Amino acid sequence: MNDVAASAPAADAGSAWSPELRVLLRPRATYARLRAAPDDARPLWRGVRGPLLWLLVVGAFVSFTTAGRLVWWEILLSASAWAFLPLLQVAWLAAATARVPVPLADRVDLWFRGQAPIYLWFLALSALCLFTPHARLAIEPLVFPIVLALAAAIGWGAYLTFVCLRVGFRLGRASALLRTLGFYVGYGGTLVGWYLVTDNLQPLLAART
Amino acid sequence: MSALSRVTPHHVAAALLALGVVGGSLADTHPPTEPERRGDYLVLRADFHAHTRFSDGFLSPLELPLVARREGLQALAVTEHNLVFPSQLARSWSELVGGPIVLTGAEITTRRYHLIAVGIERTVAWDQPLAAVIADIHAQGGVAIAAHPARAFWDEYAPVMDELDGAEVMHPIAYRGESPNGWRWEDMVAFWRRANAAKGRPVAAIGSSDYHFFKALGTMHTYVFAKEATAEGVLDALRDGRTVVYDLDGNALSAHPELIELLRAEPFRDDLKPRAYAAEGALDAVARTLGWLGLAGLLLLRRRRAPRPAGA
Repeated sequence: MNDVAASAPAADAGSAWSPELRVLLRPRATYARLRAAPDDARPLWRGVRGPLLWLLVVGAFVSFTTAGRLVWWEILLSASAWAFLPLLQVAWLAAATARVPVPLADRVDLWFRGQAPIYLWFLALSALCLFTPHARLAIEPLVFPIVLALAAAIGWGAYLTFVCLRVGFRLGRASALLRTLGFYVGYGGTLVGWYLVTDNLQPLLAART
Repeated sequence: MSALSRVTPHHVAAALLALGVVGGSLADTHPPTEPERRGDYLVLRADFHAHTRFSDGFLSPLELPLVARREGLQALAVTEHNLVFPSQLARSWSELVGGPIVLTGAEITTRRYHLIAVGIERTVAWDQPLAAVIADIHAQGGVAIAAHPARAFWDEYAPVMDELDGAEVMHPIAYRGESPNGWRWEDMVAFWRRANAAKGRPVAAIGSSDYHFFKALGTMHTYVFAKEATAEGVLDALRDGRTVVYDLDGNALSAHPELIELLRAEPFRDDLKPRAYAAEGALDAVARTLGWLGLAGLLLLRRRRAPRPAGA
C-alpha cells in the first residue's frame, strides 16, 4: 500500500520537501497536484493527520518556549489545551465549504497542508529561545518584527486558504473568496466572542462604571 | 527492498523528535519543594500573578502548577482576567498531582486599574466601583493586591488605598524600568510605600511575574512567611503583610523589617532555575537540538519514498 512506485504516483513523489512547504512556496501548482493525485491513505487518517500535526507543533512550541526543551507532559497537556482551535477550524471549514463535492476528510487534509506559515513562525521563535545565549535580551528588541512576522504568517495562511478553495476544491473565484471570508469571519468571530463572554474585552473599553 | 531503503527523511526526523522528547523529559527536573523554616514561620516562594490560555496566556490550568513546581515555587495564584474557574481547575489538579499550593483568584482587569484578587471562589464583577470590588473580595475571604500600580492608576486607587492588602513592588517591568505604555517600576514601589503610610496596618510587598508565556513564571516572586504551608496560611500571611521581596539589586522590601533580618541572618536557599534558556547539562543541550531538528524535519521534509527508477 505504501509502495509509491506500485500505485498511482502521489503528488509529492520525487520531491525532497513536505506538502506543507511546497504549498507555502508554490500554492497553486501544489494544490493542483495534491487534488489530482491524492495519496492512498485511509480517509480517516487523511482527516485527522493535519490537525494532529498542528497539535504536535503547538505542543512542542509551548514546551520549547516554556521549558527550553521537549517534555512529554508539557507537549501532551498543551496539545490537549489547544485542541479546541483545530476543532474550531474544522467546524468552520466544514460550514464555509458546505455542499462542496469533496469529502470532508479531504477538505480538512488539503486545508491543513496550508499551515506552513504558522509552523515556520513557531519553529523560528522556538529557535530564538533555544539557541540564543540570552533569550530575553534577544527577543526584547525583536518584539515588533516577531509580531509583524506573525501577522504575515496569518495573512499568507489566509491566502493559502483561498488557493485551497479555488484550486484544491475547484471553486470559482467569487465562491472561493466568499467562502474564505466566511471561514475567517466565523473562526475569528468565535474567538472574539469567547473574549466577550468571559469579560476580557469590554472592561478594557469601558471608560468608567 | 531492504529495510534501510524504506526509511525516509521523515522517519529520521520522527526519530530525532522522539530522542528529543526522551532526553528532554529525563533532563527536566525540579528543585526540592519543602518550605524552609525561619523563626516561627515557614517561608514559601510564591508567584501571585499568572494567566492561562483561557485568556491571553500560553499554558493551561493543568500545566501551570507543574511549571511552577519546576521553577521552584511553593505557592502560585492563578489570576485569570475576570475569571475564577481556571484557578479552580489548577487547584484541583495541583492537589491531585502533589504540586504546589495553588490559590484561586482573578485579575480584575479594567481600563482604569488592574487588581489581583487572591483566595476568592466567585467571579468579582468588574463593572462596579473599585470600593465595591474590594468589598466583594474581602467578603469572600480573599485579599486585594494592587497589580503593577502604575501612576496612571493612582487616582483610581487613592480612595481605597487603606483597603488594599498588598501591592506589587516587583514586576517584569523592572527589567526595563518602564514599559512601552509608560508604567514605571519606581512608581510601583512608591505606591506601596504610600499605601503602607495610609493604612493602619502593613501592606504586603508582592513580587509577581504577571506570567503569560515563555520561561518567566516565578521570575519575580514573593517570600511568604506563613504559619502553615496551606492556602489559608498564605492568605493569613498576606493579610498581615508578612512578605519579603527582593529587587534586581538585591535590596529587600517588606512591611515587616524583622523578616528581612531573619533572611539576612540565615539566607534563603535560592535554587530557582536560571531565567535564561541555557541548557542544564550535555543531555539537555543535545536533546533540545535533536528535538528541534526533528520537528523541523517533520514539517519540511518529504514523507514518502522517492519513486524507484524504472527497471529497479
